[in-house]
Amino acid sequence: MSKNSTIKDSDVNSTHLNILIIDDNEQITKMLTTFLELKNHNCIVANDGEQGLRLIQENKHDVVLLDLAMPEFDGYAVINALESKDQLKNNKIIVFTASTITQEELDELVKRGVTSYILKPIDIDLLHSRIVESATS
Amino acid sequence: MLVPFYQWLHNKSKNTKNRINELETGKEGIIKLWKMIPKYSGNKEKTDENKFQTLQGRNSILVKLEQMIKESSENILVLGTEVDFKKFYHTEFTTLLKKTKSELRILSDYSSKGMHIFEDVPAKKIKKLDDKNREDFCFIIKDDNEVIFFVSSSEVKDMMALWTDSKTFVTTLRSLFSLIWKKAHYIDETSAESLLGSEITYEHRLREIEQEKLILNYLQKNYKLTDNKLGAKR
Repeated sequence: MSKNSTIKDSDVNSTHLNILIIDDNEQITKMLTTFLELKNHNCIVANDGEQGLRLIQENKHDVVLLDLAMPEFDGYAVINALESKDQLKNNKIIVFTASTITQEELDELVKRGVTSYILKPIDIDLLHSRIVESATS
Repeated sequence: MLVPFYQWLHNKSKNTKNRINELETGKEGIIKLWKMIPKYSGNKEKTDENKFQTLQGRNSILVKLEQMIKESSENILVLGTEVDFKKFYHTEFTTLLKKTKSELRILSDYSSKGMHIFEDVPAKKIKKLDDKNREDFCFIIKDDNEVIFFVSSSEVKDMMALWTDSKTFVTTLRSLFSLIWKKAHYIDETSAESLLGSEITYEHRLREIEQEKLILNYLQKNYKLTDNKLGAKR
C-alpha cells in the first residue's frame, strides 16, 4: 500500500461514500461515525463480525472498515467467510486494526483480496484520505 | 393324428433344445432390457437426512474425515485433545485442515510439547480446552450439517467413530462447541489476559485509546463537539 496519498484534497472532501464500520469498540464507532458524517459520508455500524458479515452480504457499500480483534466472530472470520464465497474481492475491505500484526500477515491479507490496511492509531485526516483513496481506487 | 411315443419324445426334445438355443442367442438383449427397468427407490427422500454410519479402524475414519474437510465450504469445528490429534498427525487430514478455506476453529488442550501438531495453523483459530472440559470426547463438525464423533471403548481395540448428518446431533454438538469456545481463551493469550478474561492485549487497548483520543481531539478542535454530543463515556 502506498503511504503517500495520491488523491487531491479537494477530491477527498467532495467524495460521498457509503461506509460500513465493523468494530466492537463502540467509542471508536460513535466518534468515527460523527467524523465521517461531518465529512458528508453515510455510515452504518456493526459492533460484531457476524452482523457485519450480514450487512456486507445484504447491501452494497463503497468501503468497509473492518476491525480484526473482536470477540467471537472476529475480522479474520469475516474475511474467511467472504473468501469462501468468492465475495472478498468484490468488496472494498480496509482492515482497520490495533492488533499486533506482522507485515507478512498484512501482505497476506492483501494478497487474499483485502483492499488495504490501516493501523491504529492514525491521524484522522490521513485516515479519511486513505478511506477515500481505497474506495475510489 | 396319433403319434408314436418315441416320435412325440423326439419332437418334444427338439422343441426344448430350440427354445434353449433361442434363449442363449438372445441372452445379451435380455440382460440389456433388464438393466433398463427402473429400480424401486422406496422411501429414498425420507432417508436423505438422519443417516448414521459406524466407522471402525483408523483408515475408514481417516477417509471420512478427509472427505468432510474437502467438501466443507463454510466452517470446520474441531474439539479434541492433543492425543486425538496425534493419531492423525502427518496425514492428508491434517494437511487439508491447515489449507482449508473454511472458517476453522480448534478447541484443544495445548501444551508446549504438542505445539508442533498445530504448526501452520494460525493461533487465532485455536483456543485452549480447559482441564475441566478435557473429557474423553472428540468430535468434528462440518458446515453445521455433518458431525463425526469418536467412540472410546475398552472392549474394542480399533478406533471407532460415528458419522451422522442428523440435525439433532449436529445442533447439540454445535451448541456444546460454541459454549466451550466462548469461555475458552486463545492459545497466544498471556495468563494475565486470561485472568482478565480479555481477548485483547494491553498494547492493543492502548492503541485503541490513542485512536479514540485522536478522533475526539479532532472533533473538539474543528467542530467544537463535546463528549456528551458524541455519547462518549470517559
